[in-house]
Amino acid sequence: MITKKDKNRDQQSIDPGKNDSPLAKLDKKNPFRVPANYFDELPGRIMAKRRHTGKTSVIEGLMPFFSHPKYQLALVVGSLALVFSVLFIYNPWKADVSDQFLSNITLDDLLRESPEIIAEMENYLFIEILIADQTGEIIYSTGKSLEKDSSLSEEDLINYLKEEEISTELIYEL
Amino acid sequence: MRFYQSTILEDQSDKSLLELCLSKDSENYGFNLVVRKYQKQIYWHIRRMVINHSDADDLVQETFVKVWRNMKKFRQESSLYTWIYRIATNETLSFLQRKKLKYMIRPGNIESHLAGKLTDDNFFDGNEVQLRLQKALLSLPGKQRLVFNLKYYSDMTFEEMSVVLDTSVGALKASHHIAVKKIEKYLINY
Repeated sequence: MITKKDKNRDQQSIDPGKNDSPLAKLDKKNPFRVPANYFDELPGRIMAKRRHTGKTSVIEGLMPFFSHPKYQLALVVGSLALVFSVLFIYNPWKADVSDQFLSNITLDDLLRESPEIIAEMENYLFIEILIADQTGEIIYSTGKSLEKDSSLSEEDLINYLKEEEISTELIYEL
Repeated sequence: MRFYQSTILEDQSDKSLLELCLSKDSENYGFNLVVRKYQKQIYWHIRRMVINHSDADDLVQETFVKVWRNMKKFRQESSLYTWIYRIATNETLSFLQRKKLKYMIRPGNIESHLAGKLTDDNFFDGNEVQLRLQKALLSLPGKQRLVFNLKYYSDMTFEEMSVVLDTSVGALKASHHIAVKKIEKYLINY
């Protein structure tokens, strides 16, 4: 609670010689004025402006709803789910790999042009290439060496995977 | 009648006004009372800063619309009076900042523009000495002018000012002291 004494102390601490100050000789009268009846009409104008600006858009109306942290989290999770769903359905990277990379480029081309890609391939991708390539070409290692065998059977393939200690389950997943 | 009205308003505590504003049934009535209680203080606070009546009129309306919009968020950590002053001050300083930017790309400056408005304004009827005081005030930086006005005209304590301006009491006292010295110097020299 601010008392009159505090106010006087404030004033004295700042302006101890205030009686000598030119400011002390001035009349504090307000030099400005307002149009007639201004303060009688102002509340009505403010109320009208409030009603006018109070009409919020749908988005503004939803803002208080999303101001709660729980709903903000739900909004983030929902947005991420939507983004991943769209990517899963349209998957632009998948189109590059399966449509262009596998159908337009043969394994020979791939190994000649970009052996480092084969070297980095995971086992599941290696088998996918094997199945997709209907010419019977097969890669016996993950790109470090290449042998061709046009008469390769599924049994040969399984034996190969076992020798290489690669899970045979992968082939059934394709 | 007016005396009766103002007595009713003065009797209404800020707490009871807030209760009226926050109740769905009485929100319009409550807000109307808040406007009637504080409109003059807020208007004059803004007017002394922007000088021009039309600008002050726009700003006082903006201030109360903001008060209305944020009424439910008001946590009552300060008094309703200082909270409204704070909104009005922020609105006014933003307005002056926008004007300042506008005048940065034109010849002259915002202070000389406002000083020109003083004499052109139909709603200024001060005498020669008061005109000099207003011109002296316009020679001060915005924050010093604000501090001086709150102390000199609104008779606000430094503690209240500290809440309104979010500045320490010490800094406000220093700012006020410098403002007083500059005004005294201006009044003696011009």
